[in-house]
Amino acid sequence: MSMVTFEDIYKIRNVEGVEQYLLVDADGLIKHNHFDSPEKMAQVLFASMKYALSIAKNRFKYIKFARKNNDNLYIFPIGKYCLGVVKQKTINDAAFQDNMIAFLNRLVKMKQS
Amino acid sequence: MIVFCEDCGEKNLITQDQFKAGRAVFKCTACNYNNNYLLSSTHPSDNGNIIDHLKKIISIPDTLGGFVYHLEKGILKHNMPASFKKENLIGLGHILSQNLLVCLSNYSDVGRMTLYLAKRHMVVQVVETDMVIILVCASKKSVTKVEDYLDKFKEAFIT
Repeated sequence: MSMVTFEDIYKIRNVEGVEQYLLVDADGLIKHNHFDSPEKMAQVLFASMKYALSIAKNRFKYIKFARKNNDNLYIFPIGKYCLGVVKQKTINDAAFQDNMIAFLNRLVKMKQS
Repeated sequence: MIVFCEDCGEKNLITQDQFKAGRAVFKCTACNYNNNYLLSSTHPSDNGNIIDHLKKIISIPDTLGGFVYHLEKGILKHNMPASFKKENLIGLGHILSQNLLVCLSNYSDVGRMTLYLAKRHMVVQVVETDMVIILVCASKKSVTKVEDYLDKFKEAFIT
């Protein structure tokens, strides 16, 4: 079984529609940062993961926070980590979500291969 | 529109012309009293009609239901299937509103949160500083339609 490395996750920078991203661990500690004001987003990621898992546990897929300028915030669980992403304003949410789901599915396949 | 005379209580049918700037302005057909009073509008963009919006939103296909949650008063109105117990809805409303508040405290321009689960999705829209409306959808398609509705009438939800 192959492992998914941080380098694999950091390929998110190549996903169309990704403006900024941030990876935190289960304790909310920043593991990788390509983000303005990462502490603010880390706090949101940590709290959101806690709340979402309390509602849904393994059924939790992702969260979207809609913003006025359409640079929406997204939160994706990746194993014991949590990925926060700012969407580019110019891409619509459906296309961005498809891109992200495809990227995350590739990570899952890598883990299973 | 049917309105009631402030003086004698008689029902009166008024036209759009007699409904001015949110006020009913008419002479009662029974007692001739000149009425001129503020009505709570039923226009969908009116802030006081969140319940009306809730009814309209849950009629969107694949929308399972929804409820209005107040941070201090709890559930003000719900229209959820019977399988959702009220005590569970209170817990759900509390968790979702707290999650949105954490984000709002860091990003003040956030107006809505959508939680995507395996088979259910929840849209949480800020109505007032201490109130949210929560919609439960069975498909991503219905989430999009619910979000479109909320965007269309956003002046009613973001105050």
